[in-house]
Amino acid sequence: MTHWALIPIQSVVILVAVLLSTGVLLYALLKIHSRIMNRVGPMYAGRFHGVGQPIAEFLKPIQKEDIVPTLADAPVFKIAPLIALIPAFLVFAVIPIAPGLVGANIDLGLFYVLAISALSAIAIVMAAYASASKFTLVGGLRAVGQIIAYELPIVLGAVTIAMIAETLSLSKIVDAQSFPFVVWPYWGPHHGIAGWIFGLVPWGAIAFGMFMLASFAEVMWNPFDMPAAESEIITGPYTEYSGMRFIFFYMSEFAHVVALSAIASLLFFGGWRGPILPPVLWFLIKVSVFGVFFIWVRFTMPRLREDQLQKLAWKLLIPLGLLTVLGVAITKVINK
Amino acid sequence: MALPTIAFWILAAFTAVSTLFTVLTRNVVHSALGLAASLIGAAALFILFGAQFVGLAQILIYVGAVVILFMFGIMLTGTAVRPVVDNDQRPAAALVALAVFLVLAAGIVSSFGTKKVRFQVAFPTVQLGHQLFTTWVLPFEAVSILLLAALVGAIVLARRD
Repeated sequence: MTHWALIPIQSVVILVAVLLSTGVLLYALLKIHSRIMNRVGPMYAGRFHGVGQPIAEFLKPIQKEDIVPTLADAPVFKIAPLIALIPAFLVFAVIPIAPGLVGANIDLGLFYVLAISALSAIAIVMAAYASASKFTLVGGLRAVGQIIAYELPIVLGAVTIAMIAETLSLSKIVDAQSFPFVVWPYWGPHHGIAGWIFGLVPWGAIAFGMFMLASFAEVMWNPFDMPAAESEIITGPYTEYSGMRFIFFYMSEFAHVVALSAIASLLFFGGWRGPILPPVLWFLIKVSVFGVFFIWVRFTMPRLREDQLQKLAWKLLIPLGLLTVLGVAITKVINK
Repeated sequence: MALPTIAFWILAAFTAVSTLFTVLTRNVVHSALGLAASLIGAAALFILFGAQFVGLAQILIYVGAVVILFMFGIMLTGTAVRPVVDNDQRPAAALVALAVFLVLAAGIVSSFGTKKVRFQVAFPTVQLGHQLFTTWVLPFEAVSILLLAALVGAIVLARRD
């Protein structure tokens, strides 16, 4: 708890982890995206199948001009992309990748992750307001409306798991899972088949579905990418951004996807647990599977309409989430 | 000086500066952002002193929801186009602020005095949860009903038909 001297080293490690994982995700995105569209994607940078492309994507915008619109609120406009990166870095600090291998092992890990993710809305609002353009304003309103609406399903999904595992600590949630591969490991072993059907299994499954759906909305990826719907409002809150500042928003989005993949594997798939292979490798495999799933869905699904998105959250997911919480509570009391 | 102490001074200075910025700036949007910064600083101070739950709840509710709501209001009412505001109640406001500061400072001094506060978890969150749902369940439920009433009231006011 009090290794104060280690903090700078840990911070650097987390920084490297963020940059590395976003780079890998970007490469995977470029390649899988191309494959879906029947193209080969980047082939030249880095010689072997374009593995150097993420670095090129990062270096390219550095040489571009830093444009700030005349009417923009310059200080807010300039600082917003940096603010967007902060929550992404902070979330990585509490994600355990193996037993004991974690930046900060706090008891409230899950609560911390949810609280810090809420900060990303601030950066988007800042960008939307400071750009002084109607496209950014509409995009900002959409983005914030979406983040607020889907914050609740994600919290309710996580609360369901916290109730089942009876802890908010991410590593203890992993320990509470009895079987590494199963989405719904939480069932009374002494109840047999009945334990599966009438136990906590269905609630865990519903929570997982809710969590995944809401994750797409939180990162604003395809089925839910109305805030940046290019056919309607250009790129929403990021319309006026170019060069390095645009890349910062892009990076924070990618880091958010990696963080949510990691949390989904910790909450629902036993995190680092698995046979034969070392724990870190298992964790990376599970996170990668989620990352690929995110990309796959992003490039194969049609975009929802703005009103459909809000309806889905408020009229379906939130009541369902409340029902799930109640269901878990009743099941727990009955089984006690 | 130990690292936590240095962290405390940095965070305290950050909170104080951003709070001053909030009240001194004439731009409504800047003011809301300053408030967000000052709330984050206060949350970090809570966490530093071991009140993790309070700190995180502050970020989730105040920064993640209340400040965003302010910004929403500013953007929707068109104040963002002409965001400069000021009025002639500055002296009165300063007086009220001074009075609040004195009352709070007196309260803190009388309850802690020269006692040293340690940088550690004062009470685990598990204990907080148990207390909330056993000893304090009645006030907890009362607050829930109050919030429900506020919600229903908001819907009644917002509905046109």
